[in-house]
Amino acid sequence: MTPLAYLLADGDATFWLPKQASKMAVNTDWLFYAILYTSAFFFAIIVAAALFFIIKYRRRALNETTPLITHNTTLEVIWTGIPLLIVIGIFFVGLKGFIDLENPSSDAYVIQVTARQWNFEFTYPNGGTSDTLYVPYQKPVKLVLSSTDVLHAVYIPAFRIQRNAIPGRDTQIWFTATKHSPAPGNTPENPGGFSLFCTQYCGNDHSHMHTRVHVLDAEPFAKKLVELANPFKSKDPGSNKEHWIPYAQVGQKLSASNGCFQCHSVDGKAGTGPTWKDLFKSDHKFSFSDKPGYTLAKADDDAKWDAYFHESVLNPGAKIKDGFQNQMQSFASSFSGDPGTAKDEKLRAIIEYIKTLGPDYQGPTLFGKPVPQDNVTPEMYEIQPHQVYHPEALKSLEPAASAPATQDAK
Amino acid sequence: MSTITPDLIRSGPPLHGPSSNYLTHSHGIASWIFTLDHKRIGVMYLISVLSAFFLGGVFAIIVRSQLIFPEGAIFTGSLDAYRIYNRMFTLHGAVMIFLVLIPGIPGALGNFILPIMLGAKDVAFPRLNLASYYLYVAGALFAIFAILIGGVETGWTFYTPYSATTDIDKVGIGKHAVEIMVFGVFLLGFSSIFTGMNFIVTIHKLRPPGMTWFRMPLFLWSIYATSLIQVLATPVLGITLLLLIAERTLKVGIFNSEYGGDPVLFQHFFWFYSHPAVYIMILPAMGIMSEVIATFSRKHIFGYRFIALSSIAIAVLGFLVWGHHMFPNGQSALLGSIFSFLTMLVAIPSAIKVWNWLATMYKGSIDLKTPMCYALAFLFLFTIGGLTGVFLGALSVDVHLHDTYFVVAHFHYVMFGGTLIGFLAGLHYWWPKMTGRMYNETLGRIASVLVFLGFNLTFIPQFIMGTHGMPRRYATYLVEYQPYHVASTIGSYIQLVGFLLIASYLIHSLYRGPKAPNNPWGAATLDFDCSSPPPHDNFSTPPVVADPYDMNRMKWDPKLRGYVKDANYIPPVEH
Amino acid sequence: MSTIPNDYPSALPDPNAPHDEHDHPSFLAHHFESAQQQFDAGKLGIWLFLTTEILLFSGLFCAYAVYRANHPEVFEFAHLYLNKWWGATNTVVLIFSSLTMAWAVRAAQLGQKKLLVNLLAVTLLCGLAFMVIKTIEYKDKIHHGTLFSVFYKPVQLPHGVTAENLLGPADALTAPPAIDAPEVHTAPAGYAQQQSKIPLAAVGPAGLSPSFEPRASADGATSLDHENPWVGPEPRNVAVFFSIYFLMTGLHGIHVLAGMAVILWILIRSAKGEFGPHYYNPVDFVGLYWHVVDLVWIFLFPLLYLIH
Repeated sequence: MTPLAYLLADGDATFWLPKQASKMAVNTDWLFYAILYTSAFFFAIIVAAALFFIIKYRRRALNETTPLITHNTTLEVIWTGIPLLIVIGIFFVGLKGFIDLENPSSDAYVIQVTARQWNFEFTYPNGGTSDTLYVPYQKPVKLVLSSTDVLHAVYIPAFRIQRNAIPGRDTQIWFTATKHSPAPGNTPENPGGFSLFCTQYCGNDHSHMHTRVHVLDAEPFAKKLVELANPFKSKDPGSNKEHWIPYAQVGQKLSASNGCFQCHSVDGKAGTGPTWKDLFKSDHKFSFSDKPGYTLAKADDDAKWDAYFHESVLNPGAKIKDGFQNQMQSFASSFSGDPGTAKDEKLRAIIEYIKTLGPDYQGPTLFGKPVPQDNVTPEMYEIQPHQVYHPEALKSLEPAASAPATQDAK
Repeated sequence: MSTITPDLIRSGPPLHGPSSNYLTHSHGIASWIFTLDHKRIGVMYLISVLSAFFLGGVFAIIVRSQLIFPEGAIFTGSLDAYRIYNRMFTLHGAVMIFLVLIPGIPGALGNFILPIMLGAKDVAFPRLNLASYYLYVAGALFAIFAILIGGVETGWTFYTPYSATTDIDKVGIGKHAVEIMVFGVFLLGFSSIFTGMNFIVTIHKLRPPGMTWFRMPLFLWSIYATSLIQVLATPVLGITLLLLIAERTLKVGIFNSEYGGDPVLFQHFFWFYSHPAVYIMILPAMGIMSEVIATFSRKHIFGYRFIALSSIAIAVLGFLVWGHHMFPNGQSALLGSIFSFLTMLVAIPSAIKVWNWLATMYKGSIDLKTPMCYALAFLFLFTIGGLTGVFLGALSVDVHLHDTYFVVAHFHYVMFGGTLIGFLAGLHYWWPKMTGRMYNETLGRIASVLVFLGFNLTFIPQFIMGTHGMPRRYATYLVEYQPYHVASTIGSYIQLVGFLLIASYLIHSLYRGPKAPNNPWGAATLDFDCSSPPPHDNFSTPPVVADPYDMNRMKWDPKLRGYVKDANYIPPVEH
Repeated sequence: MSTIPNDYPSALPDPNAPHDEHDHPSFLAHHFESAQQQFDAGKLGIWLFLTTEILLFSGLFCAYAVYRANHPEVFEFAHLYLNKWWGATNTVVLIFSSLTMAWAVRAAQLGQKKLLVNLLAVTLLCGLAFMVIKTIEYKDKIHHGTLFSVFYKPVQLPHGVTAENLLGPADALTAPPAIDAPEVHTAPAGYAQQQSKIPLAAVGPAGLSPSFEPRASADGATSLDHENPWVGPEPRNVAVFFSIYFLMTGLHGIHVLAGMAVILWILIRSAKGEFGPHYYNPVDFVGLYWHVVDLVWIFLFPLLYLIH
C-alpha cells in the first residue's frame, strides 16, 4: 500500500499534516496515512452499507415479516480476523517508529530542556541558554527534559515528536532536523522557526507556554551558541569588534528569555506579580515578611534595594508585596551563584534593568560617576562592565564561551 | 398474550384501579424521596443527570465561545482571565464525565429498565440502590459547592503535582476547592460501585425462570459488563482520590518527587480506573444500540452471542490498556509496546459489534423513527471515534498526536458521538415507557439531524487542527488555527439549538403528548410487555420469557396505535 | 418456543392477593421469591463488596510497593521506630477474633442464641482491644514525633540504633533531614542523570536510591545483626514511611471501627432472637467482612513491622 498523498506531499504541509522537518516525520507520516486510508476504506463500507440498507429495506408496511437470520460464524470469523490482522500490522509499524524514537543516536548533540511554569529554558553544552530552541541542521539532537515544578511537555509538530517533562526524573527525546525552518520576519507576528508547544496542562498560562525552534546550518549555529553563552558580549556586525552590552540591556533580554514578563509588566499594567515600572524606590508595603519588622522605603539606599531584588528572585516567598500572592517560583537554578560567577552577574543585570524602570534611577555608577543612558555607544562600554559590581565578574564566562561550542557544532 | 383492551388504555391505567402505575402508586414528596422503587430512582437519576448535562453544556459553550479569537473572546489578556478559562474546561470535563456520562445510562435508563427487561420486580438491593442515588446527589453537591466557591483548575484528570499544589485562593474555603471536588468525585465513585454491585447481583440472582443467560436482551449483557468494570475499577479511583486529598492536606509525598515520590504513579492509578471508565460509559450505549437497531429493523439481532461476549471482552481488555495514556512519559519501550498491542486488540470487539449491527439491518424492515436516527448517528460517529483510536494506539503516531485536539476530537466522537448519542437513542426509545407519553416524532427527527450535523461541524475541524499540532487545554492559540476554531464553535452553537429543541418537545410531551401504547415500536423484550408507564410491581401478569428479538411476533394494532403480541404467531424453529 | 414453567405463576403472586405469611416471612423482602434466593443474592453482594474493599487497599499496597522499591532504605530505617510486639499482639488478637466470629456464624446457623451473643461480644471486645493497642501506638508516635510529613520530628533514636551507628552530624536528630527543600536544579547541559533522583523512566525502578548502601558490607555480618540493625546516616524522606504507615493503618482502623459497629448491630439483633437456622444472613455477611478486615491486617503487619 502506497499512500498517495504521502508521496505527492514531498514533506510540505498537507491538508492533514504540517511540514515534515525531521527523519522521524517521514516514518510517522507514512503510518498516519496508512491508517487514514485503511480507516477511510472501512468507514466508507460501513456508511455505504448503512445508507443502502435504510433505503433498500425501508419499512413499507407496518407488519412486514423479516427473515430469521441469527448468525453466520464464517462471516464473524472473517470480519474479526481481517481487522485483527490489520491492527496487528499497524502495531508493528508503530512499534518500529517508537523504538527508533526511544533510542537516540549515540553521537546526538545534547540540549538540556528545563521546563517551568511557564517557559522553557534550553541549555547548550557550552553553558549558553535561550528561551527559543536552536538546533543544528541534519545532525541528531537529543533533548533531555526536566521540570522544576509540575508536568510539562515538549511537542514539536514539524518533527512529530512529543515528550513529557516530569519533576524528579528526566526524560529524553531525539530527532534529526531535515528542513531549515522559516526565517524570522521583521515583525513579532512572524517569528520564523517551527512551533514548539507545551502540551501537558500546567496551569494558568499553559496556553502561552510555546516557543519557536530554529534549524540552523553549522556555522550560524556555532555563532548562535557563542552569543547565547555570553549575554554580556556582542559583536558589532560592521567592525566585527567585540564589545560589552550595557547591563540594563542584558537584563532586559534575560528577563524576556526567563519569562519574567509573563507576570511582571514594565508599563504599569496589573499582572500576577508587581509591575516593574516605578518599582525601584517606591513606597513598599509587605503583606508577609520572613523578617518581622522589615521595611523598604523610597529613602532606602541602593544596596538595600539590590538585596531585596536579589532575594525576590532567588527566594520569592520571603517577602510578599501587599496585594500580591506568593505565586512565583524560585529562579535559583538560573541565577544563584557566588559573586563573580556568570549566574550571579546575570541576576545583577536583571536587577539593573528593573532599576532603570524606576523614577529615581541615577544610572549605573562607573568609577564613581554616573553613566549617561541615552546615546550609549559600544565604545562607552569598552571598559569591563564587571567593575560595576565585581572585579572578577565575567571571567568565568569567557573561556567557556567559544571553544567547546564551535567544536560541538561541527 | 396481551390482555389489555383499547378501552382500558383510553381510560388510564387499567388493571388495579387508579394506583397501579408507578407514578400514581403513591403520592407526596416523601413517597419519592424515600422510594425503594427502581423506576422512581431511575427517574430521579434521569432528572439529576439531565440537569448536570445542562450545566456541563453551559461550560462547553463558554469554552467554545472563548476560542473564536486567537487571544480569546471572553477571558483575555491576563493570567487571572486564563485561569477562569482553565476552570471552565476543567468543570466541563469533570461534570460531563463524573456526573453525566458515567451514571447516565446505568443510573437513569439502567435502573428503570434493567429489572423490567429481566422480568424482576426490583433490583436485588433496593435500599442500596437508593443509597447509591443519594451518594450521587451528595457527590454532585460537593462538586457544585466546589464550583460555587470558585471552581477547580486542575483539569478533570487531576494530574499531580499540579493538582497537589494549585489553589484558586490562598486563604479561606477557596484553598480547599480541589479537596472538595475530589471528595465529591470519591462519593460519585462509590455511588457507581453500589449501582454496579446491585446490577450484577440482580442479573445473577433475580432472573425469572426461563430467562437464561443467552436469552437476556443485549442491553442487559452490556450493563452486566459495565457493572463488572464499575465494581473492579472504581475502588482504585477511590483510593487514588483519597491519596490525592492526603497529598494536598498532609503533604504525604507519595506522588511528590520532592519527597522521593513519583508523580507518574498517580497517572497509573488514575488511568487504571479512567480507561476502563471509558468502557463504563460506552458499553451501555452499545447495549442500547443493539436493542434499537433490532427493533426498528424489525429483525432478529444478528450474531447475538458475538455481541454479548464482545461486551465482556471489552470489559476484560479495557483493564489492560491504561498505559496508552502515558506513551509520551518516556516509559520503557517494552511497556509501551505491550499497552499498544492490547489497545489494538480492544478495537476488535467494537468492530464486531458494528458489523453485527449492519448485518441486523440487512433485509430488515427499517423504520427511521427518532431512536433509529440516533442509532444511525451512533454508527457513523462511533465508527469515526473508534477508527481514530487506532491512530492513537499506534505508538509512533501517538507521539505526534498525543494531547492535541486530535485526542479531544477522538474522545468526543466516542463519548459524545457514542455514549451521549446512545443515551439520546435510549431516552427516546424508552420515553413512552417511562412517562406514558409520546413525543413529537417530526421534531425528534429534526433535532437528531441538527445534533448530528452540529456535532460533526464541531469536531471534524478539531481532528485537522490536532494533526497540525494544536495542543489541548489552550486558552489562546496561534492565529493559524483560527479557521478551524471558528468552524468548531459554530458547530457547537448548532448543537445547542438541537438540544434546546429536544428539551422543549420532551417537556411539551409530558403535558400535551398523546398517551403512549404499551409497545409503540414493536420491540419483543419484556420491558415493552408491561404497561406504559409500568405498574408499581412491574408486571401485572407474570412475564413470559421468549426470544427477545423475535420481532415478527409483534403485530401493529391500529386501535391501540401500538404493537401487541400476535396470538396466532408460531415461533420459527431455528435450524 | 417458551412455555411458562408450572411453578412460575405461584412464584410471582398477584400483588392484590393477600400476602401469604408462610410463603413470605417477615425477613423476606417483597422482590425475592424465596429465602434461598435472598441469601444467595446477599452472599454474592457481600463478596462483590469485599472485592471492592480489597481493591481499595490494593491501591495503598501498590503505592507502598512502588515507594519501597524506589527507596528501600527509608523502610529499613523507619520501621525500627515501630514496636513489633504491639503489632504482634494485635495480630494475635485479630486472628482470635476471626475464630470467635466464624464460631458465631456457626452458632447462628444452629440457633444457639446464647452462644451466638457471647461469641459476638468476645469478637467485639477483641476489636476494642485492637483499637486500644492501636491508640497506644499512635500516642507513642505523637509523643516521639514520628508522624507523617512535616510533623516528623523524632525526639529519640529508633529501637536498637545508637548515635555512633548513625554516622552523621551530631545534630541530625534535632534537625532531621526528613523533608528537604527541593534540590536546586543546576543544569550543566546534558548531565541529567546526576541531578535526577529517579533516573530515566525507561531504565526501570532498579537501583533508584543513590544514597542507599546495602548494610551487608564486606564482612557480611551486619545485616542480620540484632545489636546493630542500622549502620549509616539517616536516609532522606523517612517521613514518607510514616505517611504510608498512618494511611494504611488509619484506613484499616476505620474499617475495624465500621466492623465493630456492624457487629454491635447484629449483637443487638441476636439478643432479640432474630437469627436462627432459617435466617442468619447478616451474621454470615458481617463475618465475611470481619475476616477480610483481619486479612488486611495480616498483610499490613509484616509489611510495616517486620522489614528486613
